[in-house]
Amino acid sequence: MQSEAANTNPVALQRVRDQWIPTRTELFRHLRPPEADTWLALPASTADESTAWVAKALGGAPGHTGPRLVIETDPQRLAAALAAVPSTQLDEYAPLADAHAASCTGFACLRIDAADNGGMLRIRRRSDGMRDAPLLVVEVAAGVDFTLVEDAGSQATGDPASAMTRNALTSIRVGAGARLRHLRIRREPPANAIANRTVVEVDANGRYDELTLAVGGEYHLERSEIDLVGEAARAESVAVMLAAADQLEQQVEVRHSAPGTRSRVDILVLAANKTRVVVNARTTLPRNVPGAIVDQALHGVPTAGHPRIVLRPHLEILHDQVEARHGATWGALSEDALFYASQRGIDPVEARALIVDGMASALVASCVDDPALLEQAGFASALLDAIAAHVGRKPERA
Amino acid sequence: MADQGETILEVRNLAVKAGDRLVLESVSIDIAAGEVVAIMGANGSGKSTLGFALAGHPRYEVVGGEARLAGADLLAMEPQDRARAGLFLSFQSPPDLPGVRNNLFMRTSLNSVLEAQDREPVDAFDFLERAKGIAADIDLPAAFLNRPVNEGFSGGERKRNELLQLAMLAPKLAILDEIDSGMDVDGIRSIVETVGRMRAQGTAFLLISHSLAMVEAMAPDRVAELDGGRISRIGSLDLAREIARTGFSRTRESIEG
Repeated sequence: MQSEAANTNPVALQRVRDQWIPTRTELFRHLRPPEADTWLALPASTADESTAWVAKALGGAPGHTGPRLVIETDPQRLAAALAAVPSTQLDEYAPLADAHAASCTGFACLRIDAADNGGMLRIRRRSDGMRDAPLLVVEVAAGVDFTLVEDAGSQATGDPASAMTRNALTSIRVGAGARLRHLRIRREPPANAIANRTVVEVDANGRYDELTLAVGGEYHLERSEIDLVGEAARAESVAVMLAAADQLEQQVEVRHSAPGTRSRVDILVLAANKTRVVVNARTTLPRNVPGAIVDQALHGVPTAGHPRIVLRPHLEILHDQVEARHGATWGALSEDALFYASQRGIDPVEARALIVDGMASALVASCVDDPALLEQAGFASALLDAIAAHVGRKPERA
Repeated sequence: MADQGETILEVRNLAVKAGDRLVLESVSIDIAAGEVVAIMGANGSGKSTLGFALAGHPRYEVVGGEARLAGADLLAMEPQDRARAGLFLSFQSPPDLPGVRNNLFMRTSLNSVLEAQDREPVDAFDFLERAKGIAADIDLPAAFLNRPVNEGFSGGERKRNELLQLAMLAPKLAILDEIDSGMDVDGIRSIVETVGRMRAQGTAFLLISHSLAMVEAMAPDRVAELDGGRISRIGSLDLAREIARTGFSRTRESIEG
């Protein structure tokens, strides 16, 4: 288990500083997070934890308000909640997790039960400070099908675009036979330092579909640790990352801890100018879990300038009875496709936008093939706007 | 639409390089509104190069000569401006655009052309009605409008999709690069009917084909043979029949001789 909540305890803060990420670590080999004080020293939010979270039901039965968000600020309960977060795949991320624990002052708990089946909830986090360390705990009851939309970007909440750091943790348990679609819209102002860690456990026959749009931030890390703990559990982690003036990293760790489990990681990076983008995908299949199916695909597309894109697919297979595919592709937008669009009278910027949007939309549909749901969740429009901004096109609704 | 008889394409001494190779040395040809000119030539003779160069593909460098479309300097324009001015190239191998819906792509294309002509853009509803009508005319199932452009299409379906865009955009000049390849007999009939309709409305056609049957079906006004980087012969449909009978090699020998 990771460190207990230390809040403003100076000893704990110093311990985080002393044990900060060394210069040479394998996990952060290509993109090192900012120093410890970036996550510890800035003035924290003064907002009441109960007003910092905003939840809105977007679907479900008429009249049903959706699952209730319970806010906890009791230090002992917070410590217990942090201690309960699985840490088997924490690895070299531990200093950032400790920095979170040292700064976290409360948490929100969301229990999704049978009454919420078929519903959708959007959660936003508001912060008035320069430093924020939220914790969200989500439990999806057995057999429930639900969609959770996390809209974490400061731009989306209307917060001032001043620099801030957010070191966030979301802990999710998907019950047996349940399905959670987790749509994450991460649009950050350019000066922000962001580390979002999501830890997920999926029970037998459960399914977790994680769909991420990650844009912006001076330093922006999205990390998912997914453990398929129940037999025949499934998980997908699909992400579209757009980088034009920032440093972006996605880390996905998947562990197949039970037989007959299935996972898919598919990440598209679109990078321009002098950005640096790193994708670390690691899937582990221990000795005692036969019948797993694993798919890992990473794609890097430079859209302009000379970005640095590092794609690192890893499979650790310790069992013979496994079906596994993995690969990484890196290549510019097709010159023939761009010319084809130009030959039809389409402006080059518009042509780029169409082609990039097509690639991204196809990937999104491979995870959540429900245009109405994506529109209702705000994911479709966020993606369209992000692509328009990336290629320099005026946003337009089709 | 252009008046019948008005010169749409004027090409003078066009020289084009692909990489380090001079593919076209000096090509000159005129096409009037409503005319069909068929270009024939051996593999590698530069037929597709002519189409790509006129359309402005960045891989082809024009190193000499001039080309005008309805009087405007074609070579001074960007590729999208050539298309907006009324030049349409039907690709021999149309590329896939994964995830880009056919109807969105075509509506964006049509509205780009309409806006360049100071005409009102079409909305999604009107576009779909129009597209469905044309698709029915060329035996392309309407479902293809909602599929990603050319992704998973057969060779014939890709060509029908080119035909759909051609009919939608109603250009001044259409360059059809082996539009018959991969097409079944119904597809060939769709090409002939579409070209016939558009020709009557003033569209000029430059047809690139290896097939005598296709050339005959299109009833071209002239047939030109491309060889040695030049238009080596120009004549009537009889020239196409002669080439089909004697082949290109003999023609080349006679020129070299």
